[in-house]
Formats: sequence, C-alpha cells, structure tokens
Amino acid sequence: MFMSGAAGLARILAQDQPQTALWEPEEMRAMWQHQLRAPMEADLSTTRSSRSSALRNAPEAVAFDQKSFSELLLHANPPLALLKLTKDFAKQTLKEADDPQLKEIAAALYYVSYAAGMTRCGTRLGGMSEHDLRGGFEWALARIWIDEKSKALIAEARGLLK
Amino acid sequence: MNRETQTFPELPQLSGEFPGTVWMDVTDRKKVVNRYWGALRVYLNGLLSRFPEYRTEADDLLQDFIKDRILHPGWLEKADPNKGRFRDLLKSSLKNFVTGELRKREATKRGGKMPTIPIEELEQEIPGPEPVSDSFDMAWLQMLLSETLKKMKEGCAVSDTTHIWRIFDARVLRPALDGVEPPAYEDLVTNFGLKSPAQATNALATGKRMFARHLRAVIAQYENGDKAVRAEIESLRLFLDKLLPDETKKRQNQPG
Repeated sequence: MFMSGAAGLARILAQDQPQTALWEPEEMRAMWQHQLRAPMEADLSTTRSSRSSALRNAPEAVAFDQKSFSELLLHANPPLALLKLTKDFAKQTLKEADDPQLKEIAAALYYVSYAAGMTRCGTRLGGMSEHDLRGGFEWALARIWIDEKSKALIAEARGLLK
Repeated sequence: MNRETQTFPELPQLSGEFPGTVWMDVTDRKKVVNRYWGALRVYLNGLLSRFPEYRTEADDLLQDFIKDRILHPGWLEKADPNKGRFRDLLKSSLKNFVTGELRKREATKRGGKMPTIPIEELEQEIPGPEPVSDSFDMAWLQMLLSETLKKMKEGCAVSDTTHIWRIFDARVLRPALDGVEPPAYEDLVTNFGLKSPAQATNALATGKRMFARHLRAVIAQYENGDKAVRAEIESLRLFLDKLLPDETKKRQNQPG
C-alpha cells in the first residue's frame, strides 16, 4: 500500500499511544471559536445530569433552541436554565473527556457560563467557593485563546467577588 | 486450492501444501508468513547482497525455506513465544537457513568436498544485524501498518462510520505518508460538518482508538497475549526511533 519513510511510519505508529495529542496547541483559539458558534443543541442534548431534561424543556429555554453558545453567553438577559445546562455540560465534559485540550475548552465554557449567570442573572450557577471561583476566573483570563468579549464577562464577574 | 496459499506470491508449486492443524494460533502464523512474504524477500535480498553469484537464486532459496522450515510439520508449533518474538524467529531462521544452504552449495561446487570458503568466514560474511535486518523490519512494519489500515477502513465501511476513516486519513495518514500539511482544525470541521469541539475531538479520538485496536488485532495474529503484543509494538517503536534523527523524534508525539 505504501512505502513510507521511518518518520511517517513513526507518526502513524504513535497514534497507538494515548498521550499523542489530537490537536496543535495553536488550534485552541479555533476550538474555542468553534465552541462559541456551535449550536447549543449539539452539545447540550448529550448532558445527562438529573435536571437536564427539565432545564432543556424550560419555557425560557425553548426560544434559544437553535442558537449558539455565543448568543447565549453574550445575551443581555440569557435564560438561566440554559446557563445551568451549559455549566452542567461543561462539567460533564471536564469529567469524562480524555483529551486535555477539550477539557480546557470545557473549563473555559464552565467559567464563562458561571460569569454570565453572575453578571446577567445575578445568580451563581453552583456552589463554588469564592476562592475557587476566583482561581478559575484568573485561569480563564490568562488563556490567550479566549476571546475578548468572554474575558470581559469573566472580568466583570470577578469584580463581583468579595 | 488451499485458500491460505492463494495469496502466496510466486509459489505455485506449494499450493495445497499447508498441513492441516487444529492449532488456531499456528494456522494464523502461517497466514502471517504468507502475508509477510515480501518482508522475508527483502531480508533475503539483503543477506545475499554480498554474494552476487547467488542473487539470482533468491526465489529458490526462499521457496526452500518456506517448504523446509515454515511448512515443515511441527516447526511452527515448536516456536516458543517465551524465547523471543515471532518476527525475530523468522529472521534468524532465514539467516541460518541461508547460511547452511550457501555452505552446501559451495561444497557442491567443489565436488562435494571442502568448501573453498571456510564455514566461519562464510557466516561472518553474511552481514550482521545491521542494516540488512533493518530492511526486514521496515518491510514488516510497512506491511503490518498496511494491513492494520486496510482493516480499519473496512471496519469503518461495515459500521457505517466512513467519516471517521476520512477524518483520520486527512488529519493523520496523508500528512504522514505524503508529507502534506494536515488540514487545520477550522478546515476539518468545515469539511466534515463537525458541529462542536466535542464532536470533532470524539471523531478523531475514535479514529485513533480504532487504529490502536486493529493494530493490536493484526499483531495478535502472530504474537500471543497482550504482553507480547505490547512488546512487539514497543519493539517496532524503538526500531523506528533508532532510524530517526533527533529533531524528527521530537515531532513524533505531536498532533496527528
């Protein structure tokens, strides 16, 4: 089938190793942009938390059915149910994904949704401590691949911490 | 005609000569020898490179080796997995066989008396493990990966997941085999209609897992047990590592 050199064969054989990265570090920005423009339904339908069904069917959420994560997170008055569901999806991905880069994307989504809940709905989406939340926000603000609008939201939420 | 012999290249006279056996692993190994005949031929060419007068007899020698060793009842059954890898067994057996054959032919040339070349010298003259052995291992690895990818592609077609194959092919195989740049993340998600990073990552990770599963299954046709299969993969990895310049080694664990 092929007569490839050692370098090419080694690259293929390396796919057998779980630690071989799937994406380039430089692709994180593209992944994050993809996450923001992804239709929420594609990801949120995979959430299996005990409240996911109720959150998905909440009347306020239905109008956002076909929208993207970006439209939800940057909305002036986002439905709380969908923010909670987004946070649950991010948490589930953080817990279950094997790929470290996907985990980072999930962590960013987690903190941006948390920030949107605090700044737009005046509500914390979960029971994270001030200390942990501050650490998470700082982590997200230091990611060069997260867009400026999302960072502004996080910075605003950080300002609400004591 | 025995189905196993149909793919055996250039050995029509051996058709139907695979002895029946109830040992599935032995039968599988015969299939492997059948499939990897090309690697043995490459290795034999290397062994004979220092003996131009015998180069034209490579096919005869290989056929004799298959007939007298591989197909000889009990030979494969005696192969002890605890004493080393099957690939190394084939290699050392072929080398020993050729050494013996050349010795006999030299003796025959001289009227069945003393060979003109002392035995020890002849053995020494057959090149050592490098680089002839490398050519065998490289040919073996190429055939192994070729078989693995063929099975993966077929598996994807059967399970209606051809998109997994196409993504793996575009992102991993074409760059590795053709030296082209892998498609950027954005292009990949556009070309394959991947809706989110989770979907894109899952597709590529599934391809990787399928490759790993098929690779192990193909190796398991000639190495018995998980430990031996892992050892064979590690051995092939080390073999390639040895051939690569340092700069290239650094890039091997980078994204596919």
